[in-house]
Amino acid sequence: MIQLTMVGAVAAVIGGIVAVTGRDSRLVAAGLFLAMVAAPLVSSPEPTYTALVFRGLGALLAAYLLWAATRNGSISSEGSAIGVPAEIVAAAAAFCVGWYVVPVKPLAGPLAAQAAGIALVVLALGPLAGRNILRGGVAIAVIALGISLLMEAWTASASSLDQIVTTAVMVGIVGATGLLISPTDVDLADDVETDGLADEEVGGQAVSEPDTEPEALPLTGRARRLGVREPRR
Amino acid sequence: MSLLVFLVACGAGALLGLAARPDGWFGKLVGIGCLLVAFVAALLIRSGTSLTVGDMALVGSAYSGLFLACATASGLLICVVALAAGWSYEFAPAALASFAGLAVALTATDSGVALAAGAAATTAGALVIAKGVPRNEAPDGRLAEIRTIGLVAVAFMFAGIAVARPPWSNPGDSPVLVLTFLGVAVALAVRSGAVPFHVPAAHLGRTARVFAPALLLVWIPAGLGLLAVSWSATVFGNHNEWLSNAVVIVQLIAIATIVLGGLAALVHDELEEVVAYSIVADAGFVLLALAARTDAAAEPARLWLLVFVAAKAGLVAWAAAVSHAFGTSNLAGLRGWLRRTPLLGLALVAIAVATLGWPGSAVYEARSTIIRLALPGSLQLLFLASIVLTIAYGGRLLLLGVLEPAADVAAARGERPHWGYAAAGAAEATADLDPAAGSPAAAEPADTTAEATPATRSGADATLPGVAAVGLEKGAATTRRHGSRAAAAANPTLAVAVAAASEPASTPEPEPAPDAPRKESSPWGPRLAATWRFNRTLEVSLVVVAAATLAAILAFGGFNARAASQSGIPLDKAAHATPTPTPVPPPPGPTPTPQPTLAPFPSGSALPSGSAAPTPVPTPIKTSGPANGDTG
Repeated sequence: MIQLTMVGAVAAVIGGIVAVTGRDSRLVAAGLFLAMVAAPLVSSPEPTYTALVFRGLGALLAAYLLWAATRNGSISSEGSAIGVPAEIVAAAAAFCVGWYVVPVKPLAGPLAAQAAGIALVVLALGPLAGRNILRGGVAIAVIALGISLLMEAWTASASSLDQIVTTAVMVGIVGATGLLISPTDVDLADDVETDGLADEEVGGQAVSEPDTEPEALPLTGRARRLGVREPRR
Repeated sequence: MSLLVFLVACGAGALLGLAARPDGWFGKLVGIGCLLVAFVAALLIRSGTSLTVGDMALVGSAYSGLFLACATASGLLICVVALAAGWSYEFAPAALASFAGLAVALTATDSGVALAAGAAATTAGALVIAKGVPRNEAPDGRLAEIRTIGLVAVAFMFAGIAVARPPWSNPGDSPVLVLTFLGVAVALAVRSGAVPFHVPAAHLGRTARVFAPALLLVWIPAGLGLLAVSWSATVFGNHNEWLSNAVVIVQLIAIATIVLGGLAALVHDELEEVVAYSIVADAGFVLLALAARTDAAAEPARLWLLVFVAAKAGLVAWAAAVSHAFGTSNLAGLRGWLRRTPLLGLALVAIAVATLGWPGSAVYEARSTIIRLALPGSLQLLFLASIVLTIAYGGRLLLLGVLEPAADVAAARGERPHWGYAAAGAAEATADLDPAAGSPAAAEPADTTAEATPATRSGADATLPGVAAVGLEKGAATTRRHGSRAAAAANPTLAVAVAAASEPASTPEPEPAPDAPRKESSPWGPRLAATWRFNRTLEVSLVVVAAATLAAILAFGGFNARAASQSGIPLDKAAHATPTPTPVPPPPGPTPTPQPTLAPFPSGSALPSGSAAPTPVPTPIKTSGPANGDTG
């Protein structure tokens, strides 16, 4: 019989993979929502319904904050730096390692929580090295979720207050990410070196500027064949 | 009950403040009102205060109540200063949200909850980071902020695991403790802007909202430092080589922060940077307390953190008040500031005294004790160095203040009281002086206009206050075109009126100006409104003096600060109660010596090794902590 903790662990890891590798911000928000909803299921004994509802509401709020910050379409993301298959393989390998290693003996919580926690931590390491704020923020949320699962596995300390505080941490991290990637302030556009451009042009460009760095996007093979040159750095 | 009121006030204030219109009065009212309610509730938090959430309780203590009261009081004073010096609608909600997180962290009886709540409080700092404009050459603090939040969240959540001390497979959990100690120390250093992580802190004046250093460099690091000290002093009672090396790293960071931070505050010319480096330098003492790894350092560290919160928040308010009064934050342009704003000078002296104290005072003893416990004898001179550097950069600011006033300073109104009738009289007189005010002789080149703050610029475009007559508006507008501050310096009578016209747009508009006959018929209302408006600098200075006085009282042990520092927070008890995990018994091996009490066995026969001797049952051992229960 498949246990609920195992289902929750796998769902959390799948959500983490989607959040880390998604190229569309809506997909990122959906993946984060799935991971945050599934994570409290990986607990033994199972948390109360109140705690589950609270965690679910927190996940919904976090996903909404991220979606609201990116819904104008001005922010796109490159997706995974190492590719989706590589991320899946890395997560699966980390899950297996977490399933078989025994760092704490005896384990206080479910083994699936340890496996999922290690997998989520490994998944988040790649985006943390980049300079993309959205990717970094999502990776921090995923790694915090992974640590909360490890805490559940190693110390089994998921009290009601613990659930509330964990939810607050997750919502805080995702909310901070949404704040920091939201469109720029128009009132600060006065400080821009205009270089002959009108203020409206600068302000409009600033608002619609994607968060990703232009030079970070490589030219496609078709563009190279057409003779498009790489932008100067 | 008071804890519940505190949390509700902070939470509701944060949510309503963010939901309010940025330019409306509702956000200001909610921010200040909720801070006031939270302050009163924090005053009522005592050692018996508790709040049960599910199966766990939040328990107050004298220190947590005093710390939260001190933080909310300084936040309240800063918000009052912000009403005049430039309101940032994100600041009060961010402060309230972080105070709510810190309240949970300082009252939680479970160590994991306390540390995670500290991490949650850190995330509120993102609210006060300005969203930089892409392709702008100005530094962008967003990436640094999200990384700082991540580092703090990961380090403190993992510390929650380490403090629970699960039974690790390897005998002893020293590697985990060393890694966690380094993580917590580095997270604290990055959040407080310690050297070499100081660059984002130094740029906060350009990358964050007004008053953001109070939140990002004072309140949040102080709360995290409190958690770290409570955790470190207890859990890391054990000693090993790796931990000693990690402690050396933290000591080096702390020494570099205190010395280089003080030097940087001495050589920088922007007031925001001077203030930021001053805060950073004093935050080094928290790192030293963390490196001391003894309970004896916890009490002075707690006292120092109380003073740190009050004094450094007061310093942020002081810098904002000075910048508001003179329209510039460059030290060259602030020459002679002390002549115009002596109350602010008094506040600066009080803040310096609160920071340093003198022999016998509580803060002096706390700082010297931290250094004595954390550093070897040859490095005790660091205490003297910190005093000398603090006096040096404070003295530099004061010395700058007594020099010949610069143009901006000469044109400013200063703290001298103006009464409403005098202001109206000045307006009428200024209307008569319009041609002179607009003449090229009176107007110097408009370089000072270019240096005006955004608030001043926006205020200059706003409708003139009611106390100004039509002629004054014309004359003041002409003067603004030709350089308001410089022209006003040449015409002292006009200075009062122009300064009134240049008030920030965020300040509440007074009632429409009555003409002369109406003023005579109802003298008090408009006159009081004009008096209130014309004495804005004085009012701000008085609030800053109040903040500095609060810090000075705490520095000398007032408000029961010394006794409260001995009480600690519930995390102290929780960490002290954490047992050392039961060591895994070693695998059975051959007994080297025969049991002397047993009868001799024939050759070739032996007892199964270890089977005869009873295995001692290991008992959980409390980690080193105060035996007299002085932590709670």
